[in-house]
Amino acid sequence: MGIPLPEPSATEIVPPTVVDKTVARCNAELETLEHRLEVALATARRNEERLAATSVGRVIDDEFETAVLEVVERYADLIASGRVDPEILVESALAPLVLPAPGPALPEVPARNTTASDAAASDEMLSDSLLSDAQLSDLATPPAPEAAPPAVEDVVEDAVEDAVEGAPVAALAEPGDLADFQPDAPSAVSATPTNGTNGHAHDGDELAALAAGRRSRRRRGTTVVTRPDPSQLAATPAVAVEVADAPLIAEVPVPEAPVEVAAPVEVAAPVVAAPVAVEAGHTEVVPAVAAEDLDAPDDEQAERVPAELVDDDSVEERHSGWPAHLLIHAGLILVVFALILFRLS
Amino acid sequence: MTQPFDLQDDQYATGHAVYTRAAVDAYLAAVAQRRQELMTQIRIAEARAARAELAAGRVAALERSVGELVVGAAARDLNRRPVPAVPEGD
Repeated sequence: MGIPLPEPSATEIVPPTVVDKTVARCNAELETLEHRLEVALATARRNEERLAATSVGRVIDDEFETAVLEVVERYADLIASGRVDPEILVESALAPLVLPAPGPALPEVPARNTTASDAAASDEMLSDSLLSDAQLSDLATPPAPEAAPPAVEDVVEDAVEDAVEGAPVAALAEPGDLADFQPDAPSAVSATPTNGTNGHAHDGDELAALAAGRRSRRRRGTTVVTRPDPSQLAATPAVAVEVADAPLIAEVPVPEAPVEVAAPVEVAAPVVAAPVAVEAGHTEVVPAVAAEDLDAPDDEQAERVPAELVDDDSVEERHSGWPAHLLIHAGLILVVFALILFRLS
Repeated sequence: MTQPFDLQDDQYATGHAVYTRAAVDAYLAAVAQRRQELMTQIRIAEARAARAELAAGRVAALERSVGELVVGAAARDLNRRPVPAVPEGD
């Protein structure tokens, strides 16, 4: 039976040779590790510097890759949808970042002959997106659940409302464009025939373009578009159909003989149309003024209709503060009183 | 003065440091700790290098597919974002 060795004491002296060998081995191991660390750090720095040269200083991580892939996906979708000219995107590198994400399908603009004004409008639409959305763009932030993208109907309705407020008045519709109007349906806009001679006319695809690029159209102001082709209107996609079906604009039949509309023409209860003298053969759609808007300042109401589309009489009426029909009524009343007094005398 | 060892022995000759076992154990513990730290730093550096290399490959692929301008614009856009706050408890 062997005798077990006693536990080494903390005060036991370790032979110096053993200590030296141990120290040498540990130092060599540590030096090796330090060399490996230097190599690894140098490699990491080199790779990161090369990465910085290609990614504008961004440390590539999953967020970056996700964002870039999202941009690429949207880029491809935008190009595939045909809504954006690839050349425009190439010209502006930020365009894929700031253009809105493809939500519900926006109304597509029917194919037309591209003109210089169309190209300018497209450029302006893109620049609008760049200026406004670039400041708010946050690609990685998912949209809030309640912030659902608007439906196509809402987009079209907003566009038409904006058009009523800021676009040329007569450009909204012409007599032939409103075949599907339902006179009894509630309307947001009442139409009053006048003797307007403004030559502006928008066709269905212009409304669709208006819905697609409302901000641009609002800034551009007056836009003169050629008369619509009936066949083209029939082939116009859903936007024009919805605009035509929606009782947004009312057309009042014009009698043959000149008449004077004594009572205001009301299509919807809260909407009051200004009575205006009518001449046969002319129809012009004017925006209705809501009842609550009647109290708005004159300047605010004046902003809704471009000055160049309003005849001089209307401008004078607005500036004088006495509408023409009131003056006419007052004059008639005075004439009646004069006749009565003449009879009595 | 009591000598702790025999001076006649070569290994305990004058000029050699004398270490107790406790001192050697402490030295070995320090070496182990330093070794652990170096290994951790090496793993971190190697991970950085690998990540950067992978990212460079990703960026190169993206730039080849969509162009340098788009990738650069995305990088600039992401760099403008504020650093998200780390939730408590992580």
